[in-house]
Amino acid sequence: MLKAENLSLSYQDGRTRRLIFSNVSLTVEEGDFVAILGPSGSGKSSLLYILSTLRAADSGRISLNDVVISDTKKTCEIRYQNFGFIFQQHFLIPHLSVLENVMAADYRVKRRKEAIELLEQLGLGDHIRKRPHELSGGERQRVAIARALVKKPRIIFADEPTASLDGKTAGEIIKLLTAHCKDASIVCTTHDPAILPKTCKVAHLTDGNLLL
Amino acid sequence: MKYYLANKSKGISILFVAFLSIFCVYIVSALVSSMLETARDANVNAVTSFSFVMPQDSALTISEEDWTEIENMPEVRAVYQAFIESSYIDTILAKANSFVVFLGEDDLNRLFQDNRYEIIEGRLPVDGAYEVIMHERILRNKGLQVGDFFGSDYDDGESVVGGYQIVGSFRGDDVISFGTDNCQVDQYQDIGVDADTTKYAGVVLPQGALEEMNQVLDHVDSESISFQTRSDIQRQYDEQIQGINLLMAFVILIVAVSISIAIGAVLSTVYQSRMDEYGILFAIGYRKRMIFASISKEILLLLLISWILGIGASVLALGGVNQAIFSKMGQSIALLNANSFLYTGLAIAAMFVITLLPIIRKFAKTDLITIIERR
Ligand SMILES: Nc1ncnc2c1ncn2[C@@H]1O[C@H](COP(=O)(O)OP(=O)(O)O)[C@@H](O)[C@H]1O
Ligand SMILES: [Mg+2]
Repeated sequence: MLKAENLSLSYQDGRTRRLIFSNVSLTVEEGDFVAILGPSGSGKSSLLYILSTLRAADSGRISLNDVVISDTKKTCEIRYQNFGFIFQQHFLIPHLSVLENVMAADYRVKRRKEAIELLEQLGLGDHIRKRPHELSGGERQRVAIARALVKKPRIIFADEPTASLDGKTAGEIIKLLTAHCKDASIVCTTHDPAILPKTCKVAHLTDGNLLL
Repeated sequence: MKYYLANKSKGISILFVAFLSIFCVYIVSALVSSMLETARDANVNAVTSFSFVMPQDSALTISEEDWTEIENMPEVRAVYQAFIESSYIDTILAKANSFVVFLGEDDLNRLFQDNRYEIIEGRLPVDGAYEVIMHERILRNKGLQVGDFFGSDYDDGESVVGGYQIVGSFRGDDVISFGTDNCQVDQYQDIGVDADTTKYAGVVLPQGALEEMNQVLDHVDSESISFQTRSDIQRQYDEQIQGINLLMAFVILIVAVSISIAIGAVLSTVYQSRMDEYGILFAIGYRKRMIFASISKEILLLLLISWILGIGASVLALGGVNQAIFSKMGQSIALLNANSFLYTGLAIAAMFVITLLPIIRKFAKTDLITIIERR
């Protein structure tokens, strides 16, 4: 479904260019849980941002269902149509309620019913009117999951979604995530393999190479 | 908008500043409009049923030749021999001209009949006495009553020479005052000028519609006489108020710009602090343009609320002032006047543009993804 070929990325570092990774290729099939593992600074986030069109690679090609998406300017529309996002920080909008935050995911359709259902399934049924600052860290991240899922995206991109949570909560969050997106694929970066489900494809990013 | 509901102090401070500026602009423009309206009433509306003919600047009287020529125009029904002086009326900010026309008693009676003026108090002036009758609005504006005296003998600020008793007030289309015997004319007579034959000025009455006659009069090209028609006076009036309007626009611009800079400073910190919000929205598929539109809408809504509140408060305040002061002076303030709406609208537009510009610039330059990456 999502196919990345020969991605390379380097950053300007003073006067030299520093290579982050090169010739990275990766395929995400429907229903896959792909984990990108690697130490901090190895370029996991950069790779995830490139796969999800948030950033452009120096070279290489990404296609979604055989449509090339790496050379278009309309990345917003691609993300809106196909992707859901979860980051290490919850990035909930502080002045909106939990429900409004989830509904903010879709600017075309008011998905009130789906949002409420989803929040209930995620155990937040009693909190939908609360504002993010009234929730615990794990609860906030669950709201972020609901926001990513409410539009029923094809792929969820999660960048260290549990890094700011304690081990137990982290495990629960991953469980909830996998449980509620049966149809969607997940691409998840993490430096902590312990949280990953058993049935996932693991890709290691080390020294600028992606090893499957 | 929910942002400002959640952060009330920010919303209220922006609303309050914008509200104050709208309030100021509305009050100032309403006062100026009122002044202009009162001035217009006494100037332009003085000649609603007739026009004046006067000698050109250098001459003191109108020649028999010219007089006959005017009388013989097909559009002119009659020309009444007159002496015209200027009095004043008070407006909120300045004095404006108001004509006093001295006619023979018979002519005056005829004029009142023809134009269906309604005498609401007293009577018409008669020959042989220094008397005037005033339009009710002029009388009220001057704070005088029937029976009072008027003229430079009684009021240092009065440009009508001598002293006259006000013997009546009338209601009618022409906002003007009439008298019979004139102090100055009588002085000239004392030094040998024949008052009956000397034509100082004339009231020109139309055969048909006033506009038709005025069109002809406006095109008379004479070196010895000039006509004062409604359109003439309107033009003079327009020229005079141009400066005032310009000044007002300038003041409003200054107010709007300085307030805008203040609001702009608050708003840019507000939107700077909300970059996280825009970063995540952009990441999940909102286009920058949409985010920007929602920011604009939010600011516009704030300003519109201030606009409505500002107008509401201004109308209340002006209504109070009007009742307490101006209505007693025969001046009125149009509480809801087009000028005030226009000027406050311009102020709002200026605030909108000026506050939004730096935000647009900042926004255009910001890479929204970086905001998320950095965490
Ligand atoms: N915008 C950037 N400019 C320069 N260097 C960057 C930028 N973003 C990331 N880097 C560098 O690229 C490397 C990989 O970063 P990142 O993708 O965040 O790694 P990870 O998520 O695996 O910790 C890091 O060394 C980081 O300093
Ligand atoms: Mg990272």
